[in-house]
Amino acid sequence: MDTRRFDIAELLNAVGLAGLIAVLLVAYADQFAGHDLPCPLCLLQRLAIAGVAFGLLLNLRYGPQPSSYGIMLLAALFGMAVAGRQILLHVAPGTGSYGAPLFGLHFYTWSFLLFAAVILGTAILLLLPRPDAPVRPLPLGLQYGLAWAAIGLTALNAVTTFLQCGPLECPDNPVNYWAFAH
Amino acid sequence: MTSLLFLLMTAAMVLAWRGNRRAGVAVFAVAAVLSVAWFNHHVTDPLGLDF
Repeated sequence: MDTRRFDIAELLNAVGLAGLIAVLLVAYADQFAGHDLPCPLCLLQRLAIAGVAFGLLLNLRYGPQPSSYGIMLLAALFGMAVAGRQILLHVAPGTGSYGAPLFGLHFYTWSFLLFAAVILGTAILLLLPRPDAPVRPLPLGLQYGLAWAAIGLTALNAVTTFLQCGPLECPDNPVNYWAFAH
Repeated sequence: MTSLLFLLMTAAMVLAWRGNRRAGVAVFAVAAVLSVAWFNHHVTDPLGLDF
């Protein structure tokens, strides 16, 4: 029996990646089940989520490293800037909103909170001391499952974004898929 | 264009996961720069704020 302990930082990285995969799945559920097409800024927020996932994937593959956390912070700051811009577009009374709310908040507000949580979580992960004894690696199946789910969802976003927007830019308020309108 | 950014991010992930960390990070850097440029391109409407 393996008596070594899991590295808490590796475990939290895996949990974080699973959380982001869930977020991307919720975005797809809203897009397809709720018939809510993502706007250009919404797509950039998904891209930022994929960027944070890239940093987590690096930590899963190579072990936690400061440079991977730096990538996560950069992606989260970018996502926060995009979400913040979208909040400011709709914050004044009479400026409307985009999409349907989820639990009382719009997706871009949730997104802003998510990126703030990523920054806070990354700061906490950077504070954790490195283990001084050999650690028990995470199960390979879990590592591969999470990594390929993140890769697959990012690739799927490339496909569905192309179907929606085509090779150029998405309209600000998309109402149909570019590929099916031609 | 946005689909290209997702494609670059996918390539970065695949490269890194298959053992080429340096190439993965390089592709991520390209995607990051292009993403900021694309975001800047979309920031055109004035905000309806009046302080």
